[in-house]
Amino acid sequence: MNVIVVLRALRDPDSFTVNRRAQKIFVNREAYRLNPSDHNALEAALALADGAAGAVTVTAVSYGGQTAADVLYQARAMGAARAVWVSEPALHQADASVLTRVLQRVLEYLGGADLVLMGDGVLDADLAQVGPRLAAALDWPFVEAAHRVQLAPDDDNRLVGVLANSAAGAGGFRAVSAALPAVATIAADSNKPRYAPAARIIRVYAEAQAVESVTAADLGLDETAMTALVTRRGESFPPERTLGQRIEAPDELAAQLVAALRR
Amino acid sequence: MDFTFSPEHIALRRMIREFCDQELRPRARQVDRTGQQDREFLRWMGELGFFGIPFSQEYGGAGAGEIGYCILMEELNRVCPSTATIIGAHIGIATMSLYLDGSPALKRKYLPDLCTGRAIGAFGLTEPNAGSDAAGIQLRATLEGDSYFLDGQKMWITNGPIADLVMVLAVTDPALGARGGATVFVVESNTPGFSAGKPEKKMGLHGSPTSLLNFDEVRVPKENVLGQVGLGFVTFMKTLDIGRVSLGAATLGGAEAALQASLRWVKARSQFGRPIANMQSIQFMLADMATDVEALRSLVYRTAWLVDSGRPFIKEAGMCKLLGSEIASRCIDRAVQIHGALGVSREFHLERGWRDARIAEIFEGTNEIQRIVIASELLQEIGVRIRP
Repeated sequence: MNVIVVLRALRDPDSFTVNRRAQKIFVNREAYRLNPSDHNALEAALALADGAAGAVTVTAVSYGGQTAADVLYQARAMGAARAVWVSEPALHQADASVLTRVLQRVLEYLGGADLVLMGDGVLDADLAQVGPRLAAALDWPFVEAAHRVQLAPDDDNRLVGVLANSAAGAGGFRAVSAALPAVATIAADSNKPRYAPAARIIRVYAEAQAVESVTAADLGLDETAMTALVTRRGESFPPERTLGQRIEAPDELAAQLVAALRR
Repeated sequence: MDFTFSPEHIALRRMIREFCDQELRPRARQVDRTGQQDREFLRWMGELGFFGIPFSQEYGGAGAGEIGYCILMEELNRVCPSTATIIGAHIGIATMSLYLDGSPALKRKYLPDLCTGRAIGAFGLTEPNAGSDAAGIQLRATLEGDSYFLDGQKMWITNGPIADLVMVLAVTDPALGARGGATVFVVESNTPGFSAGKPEKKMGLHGSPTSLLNFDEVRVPKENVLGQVGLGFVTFMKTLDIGRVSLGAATLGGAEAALQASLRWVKARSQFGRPIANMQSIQFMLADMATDVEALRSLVYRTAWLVDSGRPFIKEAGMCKLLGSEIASRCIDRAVQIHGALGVSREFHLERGWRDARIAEIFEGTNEIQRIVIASELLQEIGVRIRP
């Protein structure tokens, strides 16, 4: 069974400062990293392969410039069997509609998939739609913000034990099952991603085709398919939030808090 | 000329740094306080390849070369010098001596366990009466049948109390002494007659256990001779030559950690109504520290490149150790000054860093010995041969 995990490289949040007064973002150094919840999605995918004795193949997919290739090498070193890089630098700025089309074509290129995983959000763009859009386009079931993914032991064609935290209330989890093929997004911090062993890092970079590179043209994507619905006209910052109300006196605390919340 | 790291070394550093920041940093203070590094934790680092990073994958190493090894030591020493020292002694001298001169059979027997951290190594050179004068060793090995029997003592042995394998230099022919009469043996620490003393109480590196080793008629089979009988001194000197590069890398990590801590502090700490980063006296200290760090980085990684590309490196390796240990000590000392009273607080990491740094000017050849090594290489270039 083929598990595809979609990864995005983004600017390391520690590498820039946001200056509200100047209404500018200052980049202090060039540093990139794997989007955090994508890291968790990758771990979830690799965990599925761990117990499967070769029955589960994990393929990592990313898009954009060289930084996308870097996260794919990282994924290979962590244990992904294959990596596909859609090497179109412009795709880093693409919106969810374009990325959905790209991913659909990547799935065709890979000869289909049984499960597509990705993070439940990205830090540098509003791309949480990619998962549900892809599921809708493929007409596959979709599970949002899963904390754990398991495959049913008795029935190969069902994905069970997807623990999603949505609508579960008070810190609990809800078990959801979905028929494969399916798309699921993985919640940030839902697992602890493994470290890539040093020897694998060295081996992967020595491999000639560790990361396969494809272009939009290779995937049969024309200009229309690559045109975003959303256009960017400029950048502005949301207004600074004002401080909340501070309740000082301890004896009146409860009453004031209730009153404040009722308002 | 190209001063960029290869993509695999960049990726390797990223993994190691993440591991050090997330897993090792929270343990570093405890390791210093209790004087112990958890064996399970060491095993985990072994699984990730930390214990065999420079060695060929054929023997279970990571195949990352001297550059990869320097990256590991730099990153470890930024966070926990005790742990860095455990791994540094294990790789840089113990395992390295086997890797350099061991027979294929001996390498096949021990390297896979050493490279994966299933066995921890120690390097036994120093004795009660032999330190800088390494040729003055007295630990005796006598051949009886197909075994050697080792008698004597080693002192100040890093990893002594936790080692599974000890590479020991012993006198096999007292008439010839160190030059032609000393041999290296691989001794398994569970051999009867071998015992390690109590961990020494040191000023720093509390988590890196150092002890005396006792050899009381320790039987070592002939097959465990490392290299050739009589040429052990050469093996050990060769090993120490290469070990100085990674030791320089470790000191680089210590100096860098001090600089980074200072940069965070001068931004956060305000006096006279503004962050102390605005004070010229502070800026000058930062500039000096950064210049030291950058000079050391250039020297260390260029020397590592000399090693990996098969060029002569002995002089530069001595410089790495000499300059590195001095730079680390003075950078950490400056960082303490910049941090004021916080710098000497035991609640903060700089005090530990300050204590941990000092030994680098002493172990693996004192800085005085390094100067002799550097000078003798220099003079050899003009045809003058000196002997210590």
